[in-house]
Amino acid sequence: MKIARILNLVALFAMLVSALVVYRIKYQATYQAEEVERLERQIAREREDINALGALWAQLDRPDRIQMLAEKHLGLTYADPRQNVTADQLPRRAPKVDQIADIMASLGGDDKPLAAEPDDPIARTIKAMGLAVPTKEDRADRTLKALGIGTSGTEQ
Amino acid sequence: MKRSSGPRRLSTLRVRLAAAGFLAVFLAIGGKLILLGALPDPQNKARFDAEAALATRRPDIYDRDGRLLATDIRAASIFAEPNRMIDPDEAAEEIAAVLPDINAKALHESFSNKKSGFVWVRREVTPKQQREVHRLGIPGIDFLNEQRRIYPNGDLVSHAIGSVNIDNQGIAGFEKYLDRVHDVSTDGKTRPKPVEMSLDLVVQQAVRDELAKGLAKYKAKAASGLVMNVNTGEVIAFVSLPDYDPNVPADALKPNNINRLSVGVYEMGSTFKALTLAMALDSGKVKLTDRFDARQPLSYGGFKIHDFHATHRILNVPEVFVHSSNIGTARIAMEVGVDGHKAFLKKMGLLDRLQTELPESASPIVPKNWGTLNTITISFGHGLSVTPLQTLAATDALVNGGYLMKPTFIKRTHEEAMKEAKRVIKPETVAKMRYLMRLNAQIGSARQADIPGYRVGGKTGTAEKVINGRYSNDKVMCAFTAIFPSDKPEYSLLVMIDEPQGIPETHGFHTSGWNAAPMTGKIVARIAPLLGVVPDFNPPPNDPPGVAAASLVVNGE
Repeated sequence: MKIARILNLVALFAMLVSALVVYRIKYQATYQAEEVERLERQIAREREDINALGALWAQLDRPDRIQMLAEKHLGLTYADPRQNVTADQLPRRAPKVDQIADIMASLGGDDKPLAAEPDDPIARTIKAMGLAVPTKEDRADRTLKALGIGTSGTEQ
Repeated sequence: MKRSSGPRRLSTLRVRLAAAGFLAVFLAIGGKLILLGALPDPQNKARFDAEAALATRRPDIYDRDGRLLATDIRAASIFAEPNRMIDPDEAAEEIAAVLPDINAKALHESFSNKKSGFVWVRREVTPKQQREVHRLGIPGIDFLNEQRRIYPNGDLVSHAIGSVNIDNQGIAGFEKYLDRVHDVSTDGKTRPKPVEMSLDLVVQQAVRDELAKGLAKYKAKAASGLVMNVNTGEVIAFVSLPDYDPNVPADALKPNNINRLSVGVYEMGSTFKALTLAMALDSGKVKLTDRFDARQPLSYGGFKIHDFHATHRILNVPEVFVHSSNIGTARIAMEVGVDGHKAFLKKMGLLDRLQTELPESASPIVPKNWGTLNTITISFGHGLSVTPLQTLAATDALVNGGYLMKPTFIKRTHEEAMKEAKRVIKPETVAKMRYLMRLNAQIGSARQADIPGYRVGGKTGTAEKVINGRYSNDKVMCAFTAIFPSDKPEYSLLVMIDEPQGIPETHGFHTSGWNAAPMTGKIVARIAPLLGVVPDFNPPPNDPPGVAAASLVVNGE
């Protein structure tokens, strides 16, 4: 009799707990379902926006609009067929000259050796390319010429 | 007894009364429910129909490089429910104030019908208009989202793409084709697979720009340009000026805006000589070195055929082509004969209606009783009217290795094209045609189209237009067909200009070599780099195939 009563109580308690759990799960499931729906709606909305922006981009990217803008602001003309070459037709790259290093050398570095090894990267590069390293005077001359300050001949 | 029975009877009566009352209420509700479920609802039917129509979604259309040509975007439409309106007159006035171009009177009338449950106020409004109407806060005015077709490139691609009506159904061009192949979704959710057209938007724009400049320069009535890939039959550019903005579909119906490339049929003039020569060379009855007498006009059945640039001498086949000799071409066609000529043009698809994806197409105008005189005139492009599109497709077959391919507006590969291609010309003839086309650009009438590096080959054609039943001298239709690079053709081009005028720069001439040819040259110079054609400034000499160069002396202009 007593056991039956305890069992009854346990069963009642279990029922209450399970009802609570089911209620919670159901509530959560509803919430998640709403969340899924909300996200789906948002995705659809974002897709529509992407679509509309894509259309707007296409409108701004119209070739005739680009041509009009290029003619108005850039002053470019059409490419000449001669500008269209294959890679093997290109001339060899010219030796790279560091103008700033040249200017610095010509301004303050009279007493310092210009093409001193090993800390002159330009000289190193030039040597690595198998070319003659220009002397101090050469580099100063070229820099002055590039800047349009007359030739070294008149200054000396 | 009597005293106690009274109240009891009364209470029984009360209970019965209450039961009867509840029964009546529930019966009423139940009855209404049955009515709602069983009977159609006329007030809301219009609205449900409208919602169903809005669900149509069309595929996005891209060009061959993935540039957007057409898409659906969401647009709001305003509708009214007059049965829910409090003050229809005021509502109509307020809406008319926000949407000034609306018919206020019609709005009044439709709002005053209290029975009606759904009327459109305005379809596809801008977001700004939607906000303004929303802000009015009129009861009984609401919005529906629907898909609206937009063409971001406007008039750049008009005839090829066609247009749709307000319910998003294709009514012209490629759009109508999409409806025919059921590429549209009607459930409103799934987005159909995008479609890639064969067009190249940048090439299309370059062609259109040069045509518009030519149209203005030569004061012509109309101009059209067509670029095709000769090895796949793809249409790369399709321009017919004047054109229209597909966002305003009503303009498509204006007669002057017709699609001149596949709906217009024309006598193509001397550009047809390429076909005549290919026919004769392919038949084996005529060799490159054969000579034809062009000293005197050709008389046949009371008609006299003259040459426009008369040479008054005996010409070999390349000279006939380079001088565009009508007499020589007619004599060459007569070697093949009427039946052979007819069979050849039939084989090239020039006597039947050409049907591509575009629903708009016209049948050629073929003479009913085709005699020798017809063969003579058709040999140089008079007396047979065909569409420019089918002419270029036939010309492609002369130079691409001999395969006739049906033009298409959908991107495809060479292999796919070869599955349906039909061999119509021998490879030896193809080599000769490439030689002749190139030669004409070197020493003939097509010199103004010879852009250095791109080995352009071409043929001019000036057809006199028929005005009041007679060929007119000053009203002409100029055409130019070109191929490049002619040693191994990749692209072909057809430019037509309707009624160009002679201007000082052309020394008053209005023939094709002075307008269509230089226009073609400008187009080639612009589009060849876009299409990835590599220029070659030291091409191999253009020697006649199968003949020792010394035995064939060609004197140019």
